[in-house]
Amino acid sequence: MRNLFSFRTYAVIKRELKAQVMTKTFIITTVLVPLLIFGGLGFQSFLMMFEEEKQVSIEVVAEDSTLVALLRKEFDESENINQSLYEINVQSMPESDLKSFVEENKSRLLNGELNGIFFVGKSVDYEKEIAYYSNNPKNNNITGRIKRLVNNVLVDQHFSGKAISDRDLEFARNNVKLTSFKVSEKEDIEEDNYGAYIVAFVLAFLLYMSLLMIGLQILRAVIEEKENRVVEVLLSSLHANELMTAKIIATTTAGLLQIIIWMLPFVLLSVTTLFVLPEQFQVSITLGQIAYFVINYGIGLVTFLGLYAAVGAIFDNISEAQQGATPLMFLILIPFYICFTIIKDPSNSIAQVSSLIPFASIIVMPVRMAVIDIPMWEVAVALSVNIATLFFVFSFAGKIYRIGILKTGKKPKWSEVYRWIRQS
Amino acid sequence: MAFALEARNLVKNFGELSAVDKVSFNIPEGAVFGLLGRNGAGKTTTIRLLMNIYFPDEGEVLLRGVNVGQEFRDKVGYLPEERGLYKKMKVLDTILFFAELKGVQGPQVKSKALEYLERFELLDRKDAKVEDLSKGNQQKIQFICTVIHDPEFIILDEPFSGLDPVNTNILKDIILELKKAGKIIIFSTHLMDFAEKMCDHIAIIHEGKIIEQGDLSELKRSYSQKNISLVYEGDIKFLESQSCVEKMEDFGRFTGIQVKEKEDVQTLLRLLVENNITVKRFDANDISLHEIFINLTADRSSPSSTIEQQEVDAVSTNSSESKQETLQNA
Repeated sequence: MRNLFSFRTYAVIKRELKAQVMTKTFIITTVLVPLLIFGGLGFQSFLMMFEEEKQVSIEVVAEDSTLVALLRKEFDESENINQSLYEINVQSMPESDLKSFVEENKSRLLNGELNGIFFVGKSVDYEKEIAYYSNNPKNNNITGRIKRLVNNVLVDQHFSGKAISDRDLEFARNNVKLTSFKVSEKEDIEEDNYGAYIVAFVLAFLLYMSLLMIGLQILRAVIEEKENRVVEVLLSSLHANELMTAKIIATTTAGLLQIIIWMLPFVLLSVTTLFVLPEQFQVSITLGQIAYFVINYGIGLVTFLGLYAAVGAIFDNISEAQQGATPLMFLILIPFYICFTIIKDPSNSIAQVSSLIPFASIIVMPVRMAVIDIPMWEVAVALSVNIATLFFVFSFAGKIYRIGILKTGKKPKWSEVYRWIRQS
Repeated sequence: MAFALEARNLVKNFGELSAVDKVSFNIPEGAVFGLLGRNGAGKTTTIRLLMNIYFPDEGEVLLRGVNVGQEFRDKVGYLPEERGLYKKMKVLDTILFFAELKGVQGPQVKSKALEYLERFELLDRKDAKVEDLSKGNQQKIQFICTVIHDPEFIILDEPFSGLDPVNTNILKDIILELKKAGKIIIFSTHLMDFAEKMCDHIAIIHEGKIIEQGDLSELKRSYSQKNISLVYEGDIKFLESQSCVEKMEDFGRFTGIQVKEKEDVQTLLRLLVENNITVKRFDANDISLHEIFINLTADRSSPSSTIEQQEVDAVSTNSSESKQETLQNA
C-alpha cells in the first residue's frame, strides 16, 4: 500500500479527470439527464395544471327527490372541489327515464361540453351504489371527489331523524386512519414513518447505481490504455499500483460528480419540501449512522472498483471485459435483491447474515441500519470485514492488474490469471 | 571499471516458459548499448526487468551499484516497441503530461517541447489531437515524450521503424547529440545495420540467454580473424566441399566465408584464383555485426519448435529488408 500517492499519481488523476469530464459526451449526458427528468416532470405537471384549469360540468341525477337539496348543499359548501371550475347540476328522475336522459345528452358528453352524469339510485339492502356515465369514466379526478361527497350525503340522509349526535355522524362519515409505531431499543416507542425506508433505499440504490456505472467507466479507462499501448510508457514512469489507484480515484471522482449533478435537483427538491413533508415521511437518522453510510460508501466503491480495474486489465477489449465482469455484477445484484427482503421483514436472517459477509455487507448493512436497530457488535464486525476485504481485494487486484495490463493477444484462461496472482 | 547499469543473473519465468534465463550484462557510462536479439528472444522482458515493470524471479539490477527502484524510473526515457499515445489528447498536452509524470513541469518544459516540435516540423500541429496526426508524426511525438524530461538513460526499442529517411536523419542527429551530452542510450533491436552504426557496446540475447556481449569493435576484431567478405564474379559452389571452409553465407551484396584456421585465408584466396573466379573485393578479417549475429543465433535455434521456425522466417524477412537498406545506404 506504500507509495500509492505521489506527484505521478496526481498527474495521472489530473489527466484522467480531464479526459473523462471535459468531453462532450460527459457534459451532454450530465446536463441532459436531469433536464430530461425535470423537463418530463414539468411537462407532466403542466399538462395536469392544464387539465385542472378546465371547466368541469356534471349532471347528478338522484332517484330519491329528497336527496336533491342535500346534494346541492353538499356540493356548494364542499372545500374539496374548486367551486369556480365545477358546475354541478342536480335533479331527480326515476331510473326508467335515465336511459333516455343519457341518450339526450350523448352529443354533449362526446364533444366534452358535459363531463359526466352521476346516477344515485335508491339504496337497497344498505348498499350505497352510484353509476357514472361519461366519455372518460376512468377520470379519478372527478369520480373520486364526487364519490366522497355523495357518500357524505347518503350517510347524513340515512341517519337523519334518528337519535344520533353530530359527532356520531362525523364518525360514521370518516374513513379509517392508520398509524403505525416502531418498537426499538430506544426508550420511547416512536410513531413509525416511511423516512427510514426511503433513506435505506436511496442509499442502496445510490451504491448500486454508482458501482455499476463507475465500474463500467473503470473497465473502459483501463482498457483504453491497453488498446492504445500507452500503458507501457506509463509503467516506465510509475508503479502499476500507483497507476491503478490514480485511475480508480479519477474515475470515482468523475462518476460521483455526475451522480451528484443528477441528484442535485432531487436534493434541492427535498430540502425545500422538507418542512412541509407529512410526518410519516420525515426522516430520523443519527450522526453515527450518517458516518457509517459515508465510510461504507467509500469502502464499497474502492473495493468493487479495484475488482473492476483488475478485470479490465485481464481483457483486451470492452465487450470481452464486460462479459468477464459478469461475476462482479452478481456480487452487486444479489445483495441488492436481498435488500428487498428487508421491506417485508427487516429482521430476517438472510439479511442479517449477508450484512456480515464480505461484499454483500457493503450494500445490505446500511439498509438494515436505516430500518432497524443493529447491535454494536454487528456494526463492528461488518466494518472490520469490509476493511479486511478492501485490503485483500486491493493487493489481489493490484497483482492481476500489474501483469494483466501488459498482456495482449490471446484472452487468458482463468487458471492463468490465478497463476499471475501466485507468481507475483 | 564502474558501470552505469548492471544486470546480474536476471531470471524471469512465465509459467513453464523461461523468458529470461540468468541474464547478466554491464552498460558503461556514456555508452550506446545495443540489446540485440531475434523476435521473442527476451529483449522486451529484459528491458521491463531493468525498469522494474516486471520483478525478476531471481537476480538484480544495479544503478551505479545500488538496486534500481523509482529513482531509476525517474531517470529513464523509454520508447517501447508497442508505441502508444492517448488518441484524444492534444499534442502539446501529451508531451507535458509525460514530462509531469517524471516530475518535470513549468514554462521551461513547455518551451523545450515547442523547440522539439519545431525541430520535427510539427510546431503548427501542437494543438491538434494525436489521432489526427499521421503514424510517422505520432512516432515523432512519442520520441519527444521519451526525452522531454532530459533523462540520463534513454531506452529505445526500434526507434527508426516507420520513419522516412529525412526523419530518420533528424532522429539520428538527436540521438548523437544526446550521446555527446553524456546520456546513456540503450537500443533494443533486431536490425543489425542500425546497431552496427550506432552502438559501441552490445549484448546478444537468444532464447532468454545472453550469448555474447562486450565492446563492439573488440567483438568484431575477435570474430573477424577467420572471416572473409567476398565480392566476386563466377561460380564458387566448389568451395563448399573444401576442407578449409567452415561455412559460407550469401548476403547478397557480398558473401561471408568463414575458414577453419587463420592460415586458411591464404589457401582460400589461392583456390579462388586457381578456379578462375574474378575477385572484386576480398576483405580478410572483416565481419559485419549481421554475420556475427546470424552465426551465433541461427546455429543455436532448436528446430523442433514450430514457433521458433516462424520466428526464423520473420528474421529472414527482416534481414532481407536490412540488406535492401544497406544497399540503399551504400
